[in-house]
Amino acid sequence: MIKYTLVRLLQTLIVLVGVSLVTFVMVNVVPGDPVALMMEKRADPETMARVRKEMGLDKPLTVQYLTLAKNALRGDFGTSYFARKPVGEMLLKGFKVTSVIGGMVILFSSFWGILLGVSAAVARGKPADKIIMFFSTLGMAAPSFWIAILLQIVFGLKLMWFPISGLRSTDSYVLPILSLALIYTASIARLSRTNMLDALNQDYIRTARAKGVSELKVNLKHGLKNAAVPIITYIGIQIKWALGGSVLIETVFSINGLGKLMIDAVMTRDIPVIQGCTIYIAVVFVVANLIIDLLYGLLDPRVRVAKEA
Amino acid sequence: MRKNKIYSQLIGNGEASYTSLYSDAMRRLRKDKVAMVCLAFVAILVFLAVFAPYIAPYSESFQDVDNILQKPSSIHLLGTDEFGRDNLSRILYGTRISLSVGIVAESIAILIGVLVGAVAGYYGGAVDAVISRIIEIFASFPQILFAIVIMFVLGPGVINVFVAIGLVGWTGLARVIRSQIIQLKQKEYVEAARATGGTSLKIILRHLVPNCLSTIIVVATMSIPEDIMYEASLSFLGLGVQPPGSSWGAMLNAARLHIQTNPEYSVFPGIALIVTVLAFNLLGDGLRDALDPKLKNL
Amino acid sequence: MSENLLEVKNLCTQFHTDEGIVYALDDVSFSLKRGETLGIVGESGSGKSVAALSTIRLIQSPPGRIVGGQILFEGEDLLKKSAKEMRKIRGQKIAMIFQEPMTSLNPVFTVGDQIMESLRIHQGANRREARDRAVEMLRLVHIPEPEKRICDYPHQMSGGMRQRVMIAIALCCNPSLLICDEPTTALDVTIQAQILELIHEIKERLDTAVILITHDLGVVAQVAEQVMIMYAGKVMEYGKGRDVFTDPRHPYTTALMRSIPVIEKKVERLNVIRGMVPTLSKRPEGCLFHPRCEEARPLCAVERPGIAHCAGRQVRCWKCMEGREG
Repeated sequence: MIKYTLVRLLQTLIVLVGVSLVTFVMVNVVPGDPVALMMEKRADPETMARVRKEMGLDKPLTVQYLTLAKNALRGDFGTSYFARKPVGEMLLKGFKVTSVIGGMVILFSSFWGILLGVSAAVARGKPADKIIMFFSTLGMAAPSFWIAILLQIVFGLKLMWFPISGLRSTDSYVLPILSLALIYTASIARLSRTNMLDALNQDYIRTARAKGVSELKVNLKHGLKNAAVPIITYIGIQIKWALGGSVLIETVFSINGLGKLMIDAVMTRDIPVIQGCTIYIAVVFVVANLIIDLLYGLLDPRVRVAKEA
Repeated sequence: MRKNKIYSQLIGNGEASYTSLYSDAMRRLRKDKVAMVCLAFVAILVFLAVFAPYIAPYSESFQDVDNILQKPSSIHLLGTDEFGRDNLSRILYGTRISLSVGIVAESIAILIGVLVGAVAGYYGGAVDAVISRIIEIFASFPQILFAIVIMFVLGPGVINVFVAIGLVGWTGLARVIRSQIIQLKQKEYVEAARATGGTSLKIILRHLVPNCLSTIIVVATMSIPEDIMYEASLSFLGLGVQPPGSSWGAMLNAARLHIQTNPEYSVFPGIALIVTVLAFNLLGDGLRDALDPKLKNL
Repeated sequence: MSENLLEVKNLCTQFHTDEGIVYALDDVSFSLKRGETLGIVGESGSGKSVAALSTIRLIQSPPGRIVGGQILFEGEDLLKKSAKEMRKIRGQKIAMIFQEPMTSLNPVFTVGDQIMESLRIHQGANRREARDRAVEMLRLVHIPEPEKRICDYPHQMSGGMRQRVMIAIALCCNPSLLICDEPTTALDVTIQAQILELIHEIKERLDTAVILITHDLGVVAQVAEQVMIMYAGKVMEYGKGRDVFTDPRHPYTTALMRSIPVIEKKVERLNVIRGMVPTLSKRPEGCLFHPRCEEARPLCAVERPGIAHCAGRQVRCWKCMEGREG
């Protein structure tokens, strides 16, 4: 297990470096002088040169990258061109909001998705299975922002049960969370069902039945424990979805999270924020994935023992 | 025919039926009613996309200024938007964007993904290690986010959207192709090809990739709905197709501002999206079951 | 009270598939006394595995169904038992081991856990007792260092050892009948011999009746007192092992025996039975074997033969029914 952990840690490190590098290259390849943008092309060349020097933009790209990397490790992502605030602060603020919503979404969809998916697998072929699969196929095809708008119309405007923007009260979290959670539940249900069916199709299930194990135990103990392993990875995938989905949902509900921060930064061409957001989000995902992989190793003895052998 | 003869000899008086891999798959696909319906639906979409200018009652940019924000009526079956443009026509024109995304973006993704995956799988060793890390790096970005950054770099516009989505979607294919190639390269015909003096590139292109064809078809078809969603999302955020171009996502973005007065607007583009994505999803499932049920784990 | 431990009468099992009804078992009958060994032999698709699975009612339904017959175990018809009652019998009175030891053990539980599960379900043993007994069972199947091995996971063991574990799981509650579905097919020849030896030894020790299913005639010849030859879901020949092998009466059995290569003889071509096993959803008219039978007559293509008794055994062939042979 130790060896497996160390290997994964090393891989994660490489990926993190790669992620920051790719982001840096992409964002700074943009033709267009950030200083000119910032100063709205009004300043004279000397002022621009001075500002450029102050912001460290006159240095060669490699130096800029290394400075960024070094500072990023300390949580310093530079200063926003437009808000004039430290990016790190903005990121943290946005992350708090996005993570709460994202976390609730993941909890909701993991619980319901796995429950429905596993139930559908156990009830394979019966009406319950067909109904669950019908709704989940439908849910998987629906765009999250459309669901968000529909929820706003029905539950916000027509029924007036929940607010449709901002995060002033607790119930203003409901619609944003549901917009994403409903869709993710559909996907997770489908995936869980597939994995559970795979597990239930294996020979060892037949062996368990031949031993006289009760159907309940066959499904939950023998089947689920094997299916659980890939199902756990879906939690990691959802983190990725939620981080991406936050961009859309936060736009619809005017919520000040990481997603909205990102979009606003793109609109205003605020490079440090774009950079910071992208790296931050990717890092969150990579770290979460690492934790999930380690969990995977704990649950599936084949993975860790194989690596140790 | 020669194969048939030998086969008949082997099994005596049994029937010799020689079917190729694909005719077998086609037979299975034809039996799948759901997939057939979806195929028909996709065909209809293609038809609508190609002949939109002839079918749509109005052009996508025509502004009927006297009839702004009208509810569905006899002259505008699905109503009009804030510029007086006919919603039905724009939704029809929208099929062009969605289907083009599917084709263009996916082609880019296939090109990159297959190449990268094949090289990684075939060469193995250090090359594989490096490429796998690169794949992992690119796969660590949530796709929409990555697409947004690319759009930032490239600027808004239809072509850029296609490129962005293609660049964002290749990692899945690369991974799958890589593992397939790893399995395939153990097979004897690769050794045989090498023994007869094939260069590595030739081996990859002539022997290995064609054997992955069914995988490529399946993964590509199942990725098209994702691509359509990404385009809709990007256009929804204002980064993709700009009006008067009619992207369903962009239409939803505009509709959003009017949910108080005209909530129906938000319904139709969404339905168009969900139905199109659903059709491709189910078609992809059907293709996968027909071509290689073992891929069910994807 | 009959002296037979197991009496299967006219068992019929069908599977409903997209291509039609598959008649996997058609009128299969056999019996077994305590401590006896029955070998069921046949090609792939002959129905031998289905016969075993049907006996302990492990047929997946849908798409399969046991549609007729009786399975009398210790005098009681298993087909009339409830699911709960069957669960008590499986693993405790009748046990089964399968062909693929690689996949038949659950990869996420230790070998010890899997043995102890049976003990706890059927004998209500507590952890301590179960553990001791599990170690004992591992010792019985000749696994070295059983106290250590009990914490191993299946993937840490070789195929032969896994099969031994399967045997240990099957026998830990002292069943009176052990069904072995091709237990050695997936193993290599030397291990095969060891496993067969083990089964034989255990059988002697615990006086267990054994049904051994295989396509390997050599295996059956070694260990089985009774032999049943199956083809396309029907019983072709059924009698004492020695008789069936030295003096086969059914043309199918004869052909099988002939197809075994003899190492001393030098031949140009190996003997094969021409043709192919019929698709069980599209069975031929008349005798199921007649398209491939060298002794087929016009009658064989038209009517299905019943069971004839000749030479002290049961043969499903017109040849035996008409001629007063035997």
